[in-house]
Amino acid sequence: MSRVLNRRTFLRGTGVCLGLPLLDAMKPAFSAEKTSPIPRRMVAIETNMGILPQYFFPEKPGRGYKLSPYLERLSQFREQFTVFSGTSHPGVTGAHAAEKCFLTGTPHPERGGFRNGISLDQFAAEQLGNRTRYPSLVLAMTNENQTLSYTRSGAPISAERSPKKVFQKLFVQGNPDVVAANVEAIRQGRSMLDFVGEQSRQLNRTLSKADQRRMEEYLTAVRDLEQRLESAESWEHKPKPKVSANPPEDIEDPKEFVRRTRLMFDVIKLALETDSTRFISLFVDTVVIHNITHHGNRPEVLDELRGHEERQFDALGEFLKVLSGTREEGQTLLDRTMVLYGTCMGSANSHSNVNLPVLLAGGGFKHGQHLAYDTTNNYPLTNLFVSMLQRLGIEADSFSTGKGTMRGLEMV
Amino acid sequence: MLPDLFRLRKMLWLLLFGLTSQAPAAEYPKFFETHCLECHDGSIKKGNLDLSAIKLDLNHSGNFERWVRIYDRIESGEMPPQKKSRPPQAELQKVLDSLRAELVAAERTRLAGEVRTGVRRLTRAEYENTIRDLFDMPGIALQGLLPADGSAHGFDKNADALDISHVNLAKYIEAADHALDYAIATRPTPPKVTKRRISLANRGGFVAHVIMNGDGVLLKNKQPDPDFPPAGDYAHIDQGAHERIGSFSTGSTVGLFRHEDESLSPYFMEHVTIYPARYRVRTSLWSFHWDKGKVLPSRGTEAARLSVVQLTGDGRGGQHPSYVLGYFDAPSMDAKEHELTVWLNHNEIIGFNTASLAPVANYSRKGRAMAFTGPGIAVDWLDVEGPLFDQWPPLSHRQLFGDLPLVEFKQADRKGIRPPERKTVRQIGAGLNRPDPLQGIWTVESAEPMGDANRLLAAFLPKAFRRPVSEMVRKQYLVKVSERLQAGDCFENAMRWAYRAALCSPDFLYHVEPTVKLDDHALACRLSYFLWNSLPDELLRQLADSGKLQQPAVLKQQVERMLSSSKSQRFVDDFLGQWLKLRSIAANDADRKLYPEFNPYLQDSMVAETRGYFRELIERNLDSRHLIRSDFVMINQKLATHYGIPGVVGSQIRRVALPEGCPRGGFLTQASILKITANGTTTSPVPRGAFVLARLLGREPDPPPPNIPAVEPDVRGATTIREQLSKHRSEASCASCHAKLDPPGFALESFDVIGGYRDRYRSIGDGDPAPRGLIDPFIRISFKLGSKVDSSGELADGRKFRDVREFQQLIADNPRPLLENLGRQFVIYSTGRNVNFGDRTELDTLVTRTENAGGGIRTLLHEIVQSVLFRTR
Repeated sequence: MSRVLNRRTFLRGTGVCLGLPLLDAMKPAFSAEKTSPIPRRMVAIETNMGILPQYFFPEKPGRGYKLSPYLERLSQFREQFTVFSGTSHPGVTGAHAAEKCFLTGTPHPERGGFRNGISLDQFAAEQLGNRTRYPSLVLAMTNENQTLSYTRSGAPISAERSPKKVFQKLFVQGNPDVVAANVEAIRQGRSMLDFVGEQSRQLNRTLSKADQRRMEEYLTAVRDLEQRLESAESWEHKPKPKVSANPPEDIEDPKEFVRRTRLMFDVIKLALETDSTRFISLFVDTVVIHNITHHGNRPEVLDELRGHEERQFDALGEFLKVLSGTREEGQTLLDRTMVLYGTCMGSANSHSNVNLPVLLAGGGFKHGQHLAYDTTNNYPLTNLFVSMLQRLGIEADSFSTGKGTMRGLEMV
Repeated sequence: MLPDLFRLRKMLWLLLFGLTSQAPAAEYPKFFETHCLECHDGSIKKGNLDLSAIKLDLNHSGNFERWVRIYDRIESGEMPPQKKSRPPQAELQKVLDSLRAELVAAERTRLAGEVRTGVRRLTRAEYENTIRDLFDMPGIALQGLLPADGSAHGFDKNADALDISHVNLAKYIEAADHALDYAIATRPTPPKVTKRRISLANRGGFVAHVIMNGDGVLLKNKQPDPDFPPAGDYAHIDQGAHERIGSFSTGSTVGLFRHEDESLSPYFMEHVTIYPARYRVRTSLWSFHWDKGKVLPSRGTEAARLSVVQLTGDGRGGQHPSYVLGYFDAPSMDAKEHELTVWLNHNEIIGFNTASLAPVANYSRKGRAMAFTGPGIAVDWLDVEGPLFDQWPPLSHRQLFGDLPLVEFKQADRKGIRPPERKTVRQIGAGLNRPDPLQGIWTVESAEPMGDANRLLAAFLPKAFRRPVSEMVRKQYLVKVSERLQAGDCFENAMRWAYRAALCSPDFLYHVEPTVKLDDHALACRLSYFLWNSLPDELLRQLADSGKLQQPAVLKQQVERMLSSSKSQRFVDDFLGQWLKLRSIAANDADRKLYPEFNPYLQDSMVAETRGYFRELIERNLDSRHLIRSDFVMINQKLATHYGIPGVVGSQIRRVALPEGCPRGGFLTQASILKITANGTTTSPVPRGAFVLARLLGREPDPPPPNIPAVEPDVRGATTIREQLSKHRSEASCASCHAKLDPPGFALESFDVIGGYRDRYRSIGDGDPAPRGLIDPFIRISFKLGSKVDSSGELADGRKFRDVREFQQLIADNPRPLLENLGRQFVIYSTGRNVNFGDRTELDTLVTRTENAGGGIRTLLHEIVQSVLFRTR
């Protein structure tokens, strides 16, 4: 029962991919799609135990605002991010339960029988994920089984917690048997689509004109899916990109929190740089510092917490720096990557889920401002997700509870 | 004589047609000039309508709609308005007749050669039900995988609501694989049936934890378990140690005080389903009053909720997605056994909740359970027996492989053949049940593969496609099977390829109606997707095959049979979910401060009431007045308390005669409708009025003019909504619509956002202290009573009403529009298309026939099925 295909031939046929890969991967798979040819990415990060609001939110709205202590750590990039206040996900309550709704916005996670909705990254991956080897990467830094990403039917997608394993997945060649099995499965899928496409043409001949137009939609769906499978199959044959970086060694000690974050950001940067994926979610569980997020406003506890959080922002700053230092066709990787960073609790001390500290960096927006919405009657954060989807080139005018784009945020 | 008359009429008709551009046109300009141009001319243009300049250019669909509106306004008597002189009847009739002729003719031209019902795919619910029924897997979960459907003319069963993209198709492939994984038998004998008795206080579970802390107790012989004292001044410690010594495995009863919340998910964790199948679930429930350690008779029958919980991730923790199985009575001090058969999928478990109890928490209070006085619900045990199969291999497998034997696949004997794939699904969570191990790989064996394939496909394809399948098409599938066999697939895999393709082909995914006048098979489908929301069963198929289905007597018999089947519940749920918008029951949350008594049990009961009521209207063939008013309600104890109706015990919905003077009765005053038409915090007459007009009376109101600001409700209670809407009456341009729109809403102001009756508005700020009434004593009340409710009003035709009961009387006295609208809704739902202008005559006719036969809803259903509208595309 041999499944060995002409893999060696394929490998010889394609060129070797080096660390500057973007020219290859950038070509859109099919021009029929309405998305822009510029590859656009999204990295969504949630830190789940809150961010001290008094050190995060600037006082004044608009441009030229005085940076808050945490934003000061990102001062180099002040023109490349937008900070939001007075926003949250409508109806998402339940303190910690809200952490699973950061990217879905589905209301009432604390209720019995709650079923989550599709997360922003998965929605984008459904539409555009076929352009890269991996439609998305779901990552987490946690000891529990937490994740930011959910499927359409509300099932959580297991996150990868080990930077080492992520590196292997991205850059180490797969087991040939597994590759062969994948290719076979894809081929079966394509062959089936071919067959049902023909069935539909047959059926079409018996229909009225208006009905034929309606059935065209089915045929278009078949063709679209066929193309996606074709591109998935070619990914199986393409060798994975070669990178000059060394595979990372996982840091086991959960208290080495910031070092572990940096390691994860390194791998994310490599993934983006090699265009291995364009949609990444990262769940950051800060449970090691959980006790002190219930600071009760005691000054010494607040100080300790502030120290931890400032270091988190330093790590974020380094990530933004690395992205802005990588060039791609006249722009930087940061220009083309939306980095969403925020938390599900407005004040972890009181477990409130309104007035969420959130910022959005890069990606091609007119940044440099503090968009201050109403802190008593919050503006829907899901509107930001609509803006992000549109920036990716997806024709969406709503997402979850968001029924329009984020007021005041413009694309460039 | 008659043929001559016919020819004469035809000639006259042609004459009329020939003079289309002039003579009928001559009718309306004169009419408009006399009766309409005073307001609707070029300069005044009331309502933005200039009848001096309007052209009868009906090919334009926008213009067509306009003319239909003009026609309707004249026909209903709305225009010219009351205060103007009424045109003489003969003149009116002439104009209406000529306009109608124009509109019908134009529509016929526009739709020439087109069918009225566009070809469409299955809706999500239809898809799921079809697979469930085809394979006899009543609980397989498929809807959640598929993207949401749209809506057109109020329903999702319409080509305009059902687009399809590569995302849908990818999901259909996934769903087909899932269904086939479940359907195909992988062992020669069924997995061993086990029966396990489990406790709610299972290992590592939430309930054991809360018992340690005093939010529950262990009971034996209806007394506190002597081996496990209730938590008092001290909580129990070390749950793990307790479990190791078996404290929770003694068979004691669990008495629970605490309602589920974000830290408590009561799960019967010890059975985590391994084999998707039917299971028999039995439980024993009772209730008690707990008084600081004493077990006493409770305040009455309580209600517990059982649900099916779908474990996700690693199965740990709480708040996994779930759906409600039902509510079950727990009588005072008297254990009641409940039994149900339920389908469970991989990794599904049974969940529990003390539904009728108010939320309490003892863990943080001094003295915990020993200081607590209040109600509790006791669960003696839960039995889970299964997996249950009435035959092996099960029907699902036989649909695909008939009676072919299952044989062990030995690679050594089958060189060059690939064995079937066997996926192992890991059992997550903490179940004690274990798989029934199987040695080797088992799969169907065929001595004559192509012959068997032909036979099996000949049986399967017509069932799946819901109509006869040509030999040519079957051969195309056979060719593929042959290719797969030659490529080295085993028989199961080769056939699976064909089956998967069939389930993804348009013949399966779409409703195919080949002829304008539906043939027998298309009619069978229309019937079954109407009354069962699923594919035809064996009997319907046979009737269609034998060409008998079109006979009126047979059709009537089938409708009767289908309505008596339990599958008709899907019709009730799916139709009401859209017609009365029950799908939106949870769209808004009742404000916690204003409506602290609201809970999921009440919400579920509300939906059950509306469904039960609709079912009763059909069962008893009651007339359309019952949409607005009736002398009975379908309620349970929870709703009875909510409505203030005494003497109802238990969680099941049953018919209750209304006490004298009670304002309930009819859909109009049901809590579900009242909640759906409010926003959780305040009510407003406008959305409620719009709902009544559009959904019940069939008169969709015009949208508001642009740039009208939203009304900010005043929860401080300083002004009432009626006062805030005063402009609706004082401004003439507002009044034209709001004179129709507001009155039903004002009548319904007697009901709050959760459907409770009120004389005064609740407010958070100013007001008088509110009496508790029937609200549970454990629920803290902080709302006050504000201004008085004024539910009087005046209909657009001038008739006045003092309260909601008088309003009901006025509307119910005219059953015709109610019946007609319901008929229209049934037609839109069942035929997948809107009721066009030209269809109105036929609708009119069948409604009249229904009226003549008593005006009952069941009769209406029959009349619709027999009508031309139902029998043609």
